[in-house]
Amino acid sequence: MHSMLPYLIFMTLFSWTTLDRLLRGNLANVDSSSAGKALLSWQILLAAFYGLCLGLFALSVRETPDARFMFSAALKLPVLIIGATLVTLPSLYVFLALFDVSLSFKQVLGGMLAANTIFATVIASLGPIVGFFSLSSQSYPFILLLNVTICGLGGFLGMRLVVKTLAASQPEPDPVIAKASEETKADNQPPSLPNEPMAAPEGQSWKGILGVWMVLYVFVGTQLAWILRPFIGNPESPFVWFRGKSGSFVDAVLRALGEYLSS
Amino acid sequence: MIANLGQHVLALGGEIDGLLRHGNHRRADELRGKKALLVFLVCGGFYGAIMATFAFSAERLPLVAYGMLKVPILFGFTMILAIPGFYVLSNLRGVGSDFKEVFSLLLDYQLLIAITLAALAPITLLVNLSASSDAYQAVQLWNTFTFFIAAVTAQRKFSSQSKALVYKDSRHRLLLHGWTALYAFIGIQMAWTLRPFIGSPGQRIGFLREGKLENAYVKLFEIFSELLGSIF
Repeated sequence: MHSMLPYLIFMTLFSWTTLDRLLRGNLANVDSSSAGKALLSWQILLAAFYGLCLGLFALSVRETPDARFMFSAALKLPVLIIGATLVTLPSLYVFLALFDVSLSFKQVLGGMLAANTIFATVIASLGPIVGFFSLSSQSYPFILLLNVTICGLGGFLGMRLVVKTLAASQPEPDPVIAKASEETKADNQPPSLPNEPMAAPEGQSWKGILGVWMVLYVFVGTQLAWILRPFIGNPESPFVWFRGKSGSFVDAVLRALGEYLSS
Repeated sequence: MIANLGQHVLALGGEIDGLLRHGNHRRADELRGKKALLVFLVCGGFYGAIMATFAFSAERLPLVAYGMLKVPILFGFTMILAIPGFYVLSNLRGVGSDFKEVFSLLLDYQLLIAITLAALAPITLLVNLSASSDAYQAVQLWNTFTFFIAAVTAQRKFSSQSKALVYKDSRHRLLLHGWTALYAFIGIQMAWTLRPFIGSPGQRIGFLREGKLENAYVKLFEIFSELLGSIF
C-alpha cells in the first residue's frame, strides 16, 4: 500500500481527465478544489518542461555548455505564471464584481487557473520545436523572438478561454424583455437622430473592462518576466540567477527585432 | 519461400497503389502500422541513398549510408516535433475528437512524400551519374526540385483527402493550413541541420557539417540582405 502512495498522489495531482476536458473546451467544475489542484500541478509541470526546452540554447551556443540555464528557466517559468496570477487576480475579481458579472471569487480563480493551464500546455506542446531550434541555432535574437511568439500565442489562447468562460456564465437576455425594450426605445425616440451616440448594449460592458484588464495582465506578465530574466541567457553574458533592474520588456523586444533585421 | 515473399511484395504494391489512388473514402485494406512504417523507411531511405551518389567513389560510400538514414529522419523528426503542438491546438479549436482521422491523413502525407521521392529516385540517379563533379550546384537544384515536386503532389492529395474533414467541420481548414506552415517551418530548419544530403566534393565526409549548427532563417535573411545590398 505504501509503495502505491506516491503513484496515487501523482495520479490525483496530475489528472489527465481534467486537463483533457479543459483542452476540449469543457469548463464545467474548473472551480472545484480537486480540478484546481490538478490544473495548478499541470501548469507547474508543463511550464517547467518549457523552461527546460528554453535552457537548451545555453547547451549549444556557449563554448562550455551550461546546464544551469535549463534548471533556472524550469524553476522560473512556473514562478512567473503563478506570480502573474497572484498579482492580477484581485483586480480581475474586483473589476468583474463592479460590472455585476455573476462569478464568485472561486470561479474567477478557476478561470484564471484554466487560462494559465492552457497557456502552459500550448507552450509545452511547442517546447520540442523550441528545443530543436535552440540546439540547432546560434542566433540569440531569433530564439528570443521565437519564444516571444510562442508565449504570445499561448497567452492569446488562454485569454480567449477566459472570455469564453465569462460569456458562458452570463445569462442570455430574455427575448421578450429585449423586444419590449427595443419597441419602447423606437416609440420614444424621434426617427432622425443619426449622430447621437449609441448606448452600449447590456452585458457588453464587462467585455470592455476585460479588455482593459487583459492589457494590465500582459503588462504584469511581461514585467514579471523582465524581473525574472534571464530565461534563455545571452550567449555573451555569464550565468546569473537574476540580472537586476534595467530597461523594460518592450525595449528589449524592439532591440532584438532591430538586431535580427540588421544581422 | 521466394513465392511467399513475392506475394507479400505484390500485396504491398497493391496497398501502395490504393494509397496513391484513393480519394475521400478510405479502403478497408489500407496501408497502416508496421507496413506503412516499412514503406516510409524504405522509400525515404532509398531516395536518400540515391541522392548521395553524386560524384560517387569508394570513399564517399559513407555518404550513401548517411543519406539512407537522413531522409527518413528529416520527415519523421519534423512530424514528431510538430505533432504535440498540433494536437493541443486541435483540441483548443474544438476538433480534438477528429484527431485520429487527421493523424492518419498526416501519416499518409509523409508516406506520399516518401513514395513520390522514391519514384523520382531513378531520374536523380541518372542526373548524378551523368553530372561531372563540378556540377554540384546543378545537382543541388535538381534535388530541390524533386523535394518541391514531392511536397506539392503530396499536398495536393492531402488537400483533396482533407475536404471531407473540412466539409464535416470548417474549423479544420485553418488548422490544416496551420499544420502545413508549422511542418514547413520545422522541416526547413531540420533539412538545414541535417546537411549534407548530397555532399559537396571538396567537403569533409561526415554525418553533419563541421562546425556549429546554424539557423536556416538567419542564413536566408543574410542571403537576402547581401542580394539587396548588391542590387542597391
